[in-house]
Amino acid sequence: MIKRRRDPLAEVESLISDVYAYVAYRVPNHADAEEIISAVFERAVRYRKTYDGSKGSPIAWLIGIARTQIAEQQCQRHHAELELTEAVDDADLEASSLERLTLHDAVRSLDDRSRELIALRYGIGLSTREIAEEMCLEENAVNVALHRARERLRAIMTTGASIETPGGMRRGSTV
Amino acid sequence: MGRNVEDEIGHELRENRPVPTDEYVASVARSVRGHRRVRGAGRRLAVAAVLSVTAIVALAATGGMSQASSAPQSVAKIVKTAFKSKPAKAQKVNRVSNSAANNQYGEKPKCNSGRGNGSEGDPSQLIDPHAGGTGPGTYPTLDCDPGNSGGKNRGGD
Repeated sequence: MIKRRRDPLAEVESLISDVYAYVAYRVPNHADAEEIISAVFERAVRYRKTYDGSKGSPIAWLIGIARTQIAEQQCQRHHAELELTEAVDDADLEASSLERLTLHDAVRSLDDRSRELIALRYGIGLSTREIAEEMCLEENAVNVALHRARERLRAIMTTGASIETPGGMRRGSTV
Repeated sequence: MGRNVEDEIGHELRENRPVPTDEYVASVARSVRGHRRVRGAGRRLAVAAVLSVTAIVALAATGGMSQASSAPQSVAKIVKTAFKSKPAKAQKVNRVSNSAANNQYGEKPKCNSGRGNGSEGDPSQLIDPHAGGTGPGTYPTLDCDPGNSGGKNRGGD
């Protein structure tokens, strides 16, 4: 009996939404997020034939691609920001501190690992067991890490503590 | 307390999940489906190949392969004859020798009665018994002598 290969991009619209939520939680800049998502699907189309359904779901496969894309983008961004940090003047700093802090800003202030967990849990909606498999962790460790991330978020949202953005700029809150 | 934090923050994170615009989703989906359309070209090619093979098998089953295989040779022969220049002589009529019609209605090989139809060669070489000649051989042959039908009556007497 011939086993029919499943197309991982068969339900592409729902996959785009899930990957978008994941990447948007991970990457602060909206334009960067869209650029990464386009690159993810471009790569997915190119390597569609290499998808193995026995190794995981299509969304897990796409997350793996997205993670690689984000790492590459952050590496490039890091080099660019090293050159630009000294060019930011005080006026820009003051203007950005007046922006209203949103939940997404708070998420962006978290460390990379916490953002990853938040993106997987609340962006895509994976269970803690699925996240544990995805990140090669124990389920307990995922639960503890998620709890800490939520506590940190709650502290930021309720106290309005000034936060540090991934770009290194300190931002105030008016919440 | 921890459970409440899960409820509040978790609920808010789920509710405020980043959502792409419809235009963006449509744009990415279009590019993905565009690649899929290209992939369909291979499938169409496979269908065409299967149909070709089916046609060849059907042709072979009905005995059309020998006719089909000899057709290019016939065409080549006709084309070659047509382009061959014969300015002084009249063009030879091309006849299909290997056909069912030719087998039934074509020229039959004629029975030579022995009286000669000019195809024997040079007439001077023929035996003239009235002149007493014996021809090139020792004895005149019975078949070539219209006046001597030999031991059997062949219709000449």
